[in-house]
Amino acid sequence: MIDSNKVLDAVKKKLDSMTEVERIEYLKEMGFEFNNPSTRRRVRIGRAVVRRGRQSKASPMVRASKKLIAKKTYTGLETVDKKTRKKPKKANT
Amino acid sequence: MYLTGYHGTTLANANKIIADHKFYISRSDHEWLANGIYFYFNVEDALKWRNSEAILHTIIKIDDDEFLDIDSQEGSSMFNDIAKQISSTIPDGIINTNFYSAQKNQCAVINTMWDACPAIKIIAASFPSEKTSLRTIFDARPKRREFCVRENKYIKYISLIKRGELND
Repeated sequence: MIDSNKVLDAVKKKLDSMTEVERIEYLKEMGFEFNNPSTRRRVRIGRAVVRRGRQSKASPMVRASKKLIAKKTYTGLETVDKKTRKKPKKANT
Repeated sequence: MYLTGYHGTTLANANKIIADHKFYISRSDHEWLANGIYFYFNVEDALKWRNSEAILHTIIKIDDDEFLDIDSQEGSSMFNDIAKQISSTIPDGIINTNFYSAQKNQCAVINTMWDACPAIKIIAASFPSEKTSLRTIFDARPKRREFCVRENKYIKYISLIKRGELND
């Protein structure tokens, strides 16, 4: 059988010869699955910094303040149906 | 050293392999022993594999120091050392270590070994032969031993055995 130290040394030598960025690229090429860095923006709402993206991690308090901001910035609130939140259809004249 | 391996496949594929004297190299990111040609040590395992219609009986020749057995104590300890070596050279938490990445990471560690040490021509290891029925820490599932040959040129002999020929 092949000398296991020879294999271990060869792998060590290969990885040590690279910079960290090169090593990560090389390991990706070898097939390792990497965690995707978060692409979600961090935004400040009130006093809390929250991530805004597909999954909201905001606390109920932050969620409430988001709603408040949405309400304040919403124009024409009076013209929408309160239940469906849709503007009433114009009558077809 | 000479190794005897059994490769289960369809009859059409087996005939093509015999005609071309060349195996198709399995390439994907979840091959257990990375890219290469796969054989079982035991003919019965090759027969069970996807209910193979035909078995290719092969003889492979390599030098003694070109064979790596991960089942051996030395081999498994080396595999573990290499996995630790890889994870220690990159920042924590970058490599996905969840359960579903295990197969990809297994393939990637072996790929790294093949790539860093071209002297390896064959890697052998045992893998569970059944799907998990109940996941536990101790894996008591029966295992079957297989090996992966890196290139066709080490395969010196191929013969075809049809499933029907092995029946009583």
